[in-house]
Amino acid sequence: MRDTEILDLYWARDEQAIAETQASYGKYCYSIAWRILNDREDSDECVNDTWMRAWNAIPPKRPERLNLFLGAITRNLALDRWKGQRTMKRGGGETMLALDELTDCVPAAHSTEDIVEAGELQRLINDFLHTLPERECNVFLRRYWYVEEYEAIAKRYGMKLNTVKTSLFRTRGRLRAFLEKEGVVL
Amino acid sequence: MKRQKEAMRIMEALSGVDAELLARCEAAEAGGKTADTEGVVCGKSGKNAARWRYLSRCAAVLALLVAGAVSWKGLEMLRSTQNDGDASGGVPEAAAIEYKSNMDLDNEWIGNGDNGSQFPESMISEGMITGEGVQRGDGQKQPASAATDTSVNAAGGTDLLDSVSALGGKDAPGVTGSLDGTEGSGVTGSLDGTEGSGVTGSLDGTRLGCDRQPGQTRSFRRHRRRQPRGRFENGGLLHVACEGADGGGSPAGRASGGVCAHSAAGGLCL
Repeated sequence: MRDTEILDLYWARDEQAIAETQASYGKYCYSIAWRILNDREDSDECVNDTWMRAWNAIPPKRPERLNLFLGAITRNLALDRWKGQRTMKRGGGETMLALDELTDCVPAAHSTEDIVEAGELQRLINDFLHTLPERECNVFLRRYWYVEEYEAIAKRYGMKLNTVKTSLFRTRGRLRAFLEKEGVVL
Repeated sequence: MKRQKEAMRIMEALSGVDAELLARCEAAEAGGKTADTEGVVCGKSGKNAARWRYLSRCAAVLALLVAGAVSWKGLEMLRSTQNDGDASGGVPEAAAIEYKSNMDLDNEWIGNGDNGSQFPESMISEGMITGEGVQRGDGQKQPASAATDTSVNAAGGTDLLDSVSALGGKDAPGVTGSLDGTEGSGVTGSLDGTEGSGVTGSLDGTRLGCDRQPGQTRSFRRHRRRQPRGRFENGGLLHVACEGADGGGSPAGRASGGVCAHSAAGGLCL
């Protein structure tokens, strides 16, 4: 089924939209989640959360490219889940869980500040990516958006493994210089 | 730990990357579809890869065209060389000289065509041929009639051996035919007897050890490859194939009056 038809189902609040989305983009979203989490159950849960987020977001949104919209949701969910797992491993006890629970008590101003900073950071990174050559930009996104392995990127673009590593190394250096030039402090 | 947290912020900021860039990244892999380890269908090749594939195909086609043109040009040059060779007689100097020497020898042995038993004056003057016969290379003497069988077996002379006269030269007053180079190979001439019963046939297939049939044409290059090696014996080119045989090709065989099998078959054994 085409994206427009799936979106029409979402807009009609037809639950068949979820099934069609699963059929069309289930593997795509699962691959994104699996590369970040490296766990089957967590990836499945992440994909199911993606459908729920999409169901809640459409309408009012009507994304032009449904796959990218769903992929971005999956990626954010996977990163959040990954951070949660990492906190659990690091704490290794109820103390860290308690601290994480206390983060909900952090004043909203701080969160707003983070959001603004995150938005500014997104804009700068977008500007930076637009300055890159197409291939270097694609390799960078493949590595840090899709979280693909070096070998997979090299195979995908017909490049040597060292070439991919070198390209990413140089792009990271450029990004660092770009952010420093823009006065970004993380 | 702090740096990883900052890196995570960049990672999260990447989630807000323009859909245009992601679309370009997705489109770059539109060349093919494959499945990764988790069975996820992903594109395999990017736009650049597809472009390079296209260029490589174009380069391959171009290379094939160049190779074809070069080979065709070479073939044309080869053909033109052959045509030039045919137009100028088609015989290299060495082959022409060799053939001419044989022709001269044959003409001397054949004489005016009236009597094939006439010997070259050069051989007579050198003492190789006496009234009793012909002195062979090994010093032995041989009757004149026996001496003619290996080199003038098709001459059609009346004094030749039976094997020679079997070729039709027994009653022939003379072989008026000539060895004509008609195709530039220099060996396509035929010995035609005007009145002989057997000499009238063409000897194309048998001269110089060539297995070519009468009337069959052949290019010079192939013929030259098949031209037998030989050595000069008594002014004639002794056929190597006949040399070791029991026939008249070998000195011993000729001394004993043997006949070269090649000659017996009707060929002109040189």
